[in-house]
Amino acid sequence: MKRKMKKIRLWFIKGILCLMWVAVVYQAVVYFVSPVRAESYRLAVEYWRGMWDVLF
Amino acid sequence: MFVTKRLRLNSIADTFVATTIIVITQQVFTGWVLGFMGRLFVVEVFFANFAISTLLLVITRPKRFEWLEPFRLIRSSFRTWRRLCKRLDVLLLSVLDILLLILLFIRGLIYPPYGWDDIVYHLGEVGFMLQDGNLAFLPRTTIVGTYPRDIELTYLWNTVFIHHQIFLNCQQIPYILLATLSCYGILRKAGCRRRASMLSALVFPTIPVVIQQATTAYIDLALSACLLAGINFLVQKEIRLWDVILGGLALGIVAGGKGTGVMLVGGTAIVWFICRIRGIVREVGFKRFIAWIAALLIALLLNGAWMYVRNWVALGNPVHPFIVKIGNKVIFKGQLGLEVHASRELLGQDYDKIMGFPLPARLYYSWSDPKPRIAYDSRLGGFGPVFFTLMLPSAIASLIIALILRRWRFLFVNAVLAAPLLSISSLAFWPRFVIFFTAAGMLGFAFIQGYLRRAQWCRLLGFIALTLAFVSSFLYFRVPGIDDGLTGLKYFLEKGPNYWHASQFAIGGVYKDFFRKIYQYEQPGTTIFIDNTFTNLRVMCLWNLDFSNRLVYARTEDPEKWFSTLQDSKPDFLLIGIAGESYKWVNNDPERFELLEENREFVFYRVKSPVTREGYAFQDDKGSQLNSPT
Repeated sequence: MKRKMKKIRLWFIKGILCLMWVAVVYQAVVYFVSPVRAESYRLAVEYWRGMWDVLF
Repeated sequence: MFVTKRLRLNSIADTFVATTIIVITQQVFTGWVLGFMGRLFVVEVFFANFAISTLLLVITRPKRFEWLEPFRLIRSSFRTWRRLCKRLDVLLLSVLDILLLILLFIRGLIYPPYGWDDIVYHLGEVGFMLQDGNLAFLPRTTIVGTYPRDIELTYLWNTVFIHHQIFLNCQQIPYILLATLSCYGILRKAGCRRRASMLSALVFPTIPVVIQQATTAYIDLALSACLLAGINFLVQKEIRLWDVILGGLALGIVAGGKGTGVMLVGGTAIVWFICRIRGIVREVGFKRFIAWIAALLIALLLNGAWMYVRNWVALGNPVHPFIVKIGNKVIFKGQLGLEVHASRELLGQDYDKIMGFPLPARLYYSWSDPKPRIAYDSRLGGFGPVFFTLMLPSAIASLIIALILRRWRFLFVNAVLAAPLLSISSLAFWPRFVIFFTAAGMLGFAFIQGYLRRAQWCRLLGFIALTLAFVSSFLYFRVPGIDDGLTGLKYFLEKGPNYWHASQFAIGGVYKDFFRKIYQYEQPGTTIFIDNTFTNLRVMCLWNLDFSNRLVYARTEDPEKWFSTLQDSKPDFLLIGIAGESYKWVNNDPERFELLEENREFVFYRVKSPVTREGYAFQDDKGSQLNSPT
């Protein structure tokens, strides 16, 4: 019985870890696939390009 | 370091954290004592600290071979780091952090103070302390003038010996190291593996709000670093008296650093107390436990109580400017309610939007970085992609796993980290107030790495973290409003170090030209007289680079006192507001006051001849006499 419980617990933890991976992918999509991030990206590229020009 | 050696701390990280906390305590203690005596000047600061350090050396009595201890510690920490860097993701993340810190330091050096609160009061306090050698309330406004100032006292150290503004923007950078080491310590104490802890903690410097705050003289990053340092000692597995004292000292700096610090400390201490009381009483007995609590309180008060006691004595309200009420009964009178009035003003429409959400949704919205720009005062967003995409899911998953496996230690550390967040729940959506909470994400992330059976999953997580940390640094290094078009950087590189001065930015375009013109008059030895009609508040723009000119302040409500201050201080220049009474008084006296610069709000005069009491009358703009001090 104890061993069975341990096995169930292990599978449960594995399930949670799988869900975590799904959540990571979902969060990444929510975070990066948005017009807001596109604007951040545009501003950052403009900034680093400008920095390159200033320094070199 | 010799003191911490005697404390026999568990790890090198703890030794560095403890040393930093003891150093800050010494700075704060000598700052307050000398400040009360009105002797907060370079010679006194040097000798007071020399005396304390010598006393500590005498007490600790280091043996001859121990003199090289600091170098040995650095060497062994470098060895540990090299061992941990055998994993490529840790190595690359370390390199990214080092590069980032170097870039931040360079930005801090080249850019003069640009943060709004820096110019208005954080550095204004430092400037007045440096000039007058005391801890008088900051002039012009009693609202920010009576805020706690432990962190500003540590900032004073960067200027008191060199008397220069060059490092004013670099003051929070050392706190990044303190916070990273504290995070590592907390993660280790929660039972996470060494490499996983290192990898997680190394993410801290790449968090956008940290990058943005690092080159300002705001105090939020410093406050979070000290809070994490305090938690690091309090969550020790086999806790000893010294851990409690060091934790108390660190939390004392948090309480004495900012008004909200009291709530942060209160939340942390209550949860820690509830969770640990049984264990500690069982370990050391009830009597000793009471003694430990007393030690914690004394340590906390040693660093945290100064400004509150002072406000109570001087103004009758320890938490001035806030009103304290129980029901309808006012216990302490003040000027502001405990709710933050600035939120609606600063956030605009977003404020109403997010206040309609329940707390978890509000936090989730803010942590998703809903704006393309993240500023140093990070109104919405600032925890960045690593926290949102990787650490948040890891933290939730780790909590569930820890509950199933009954990992009470891990849950206890999580509770202690969540307590301060909940204690300021109305402000928790504002990332700069809760930077410390990123440690909860790191904790979950490190914990999960321990439960991934296969090494390649761990490596994958590590490389995702590394990539996101790089993306975070790339996207949010730029300072919104300051780096637009890089005109500021070009200007400062072209003009050279003599122009790396707060007046050259003077945030808010309409004032820039005005303050740049005034800067040419800020010559060594000159005195600028300002009064409360100078509502602009950017006092940092009025000191020159080496603080060799003086600022004198008076209020117009009492014309007698205003006049006598003007007379006694013998100013060279006068800066006042056009809308105020003093403008009417001096504008009719062109023989004494020569108009040099003006904009639509303020006027800047040269005081041509010493103002004497005789024959002078305060007159309004129609020439009728208002008051005759003679």
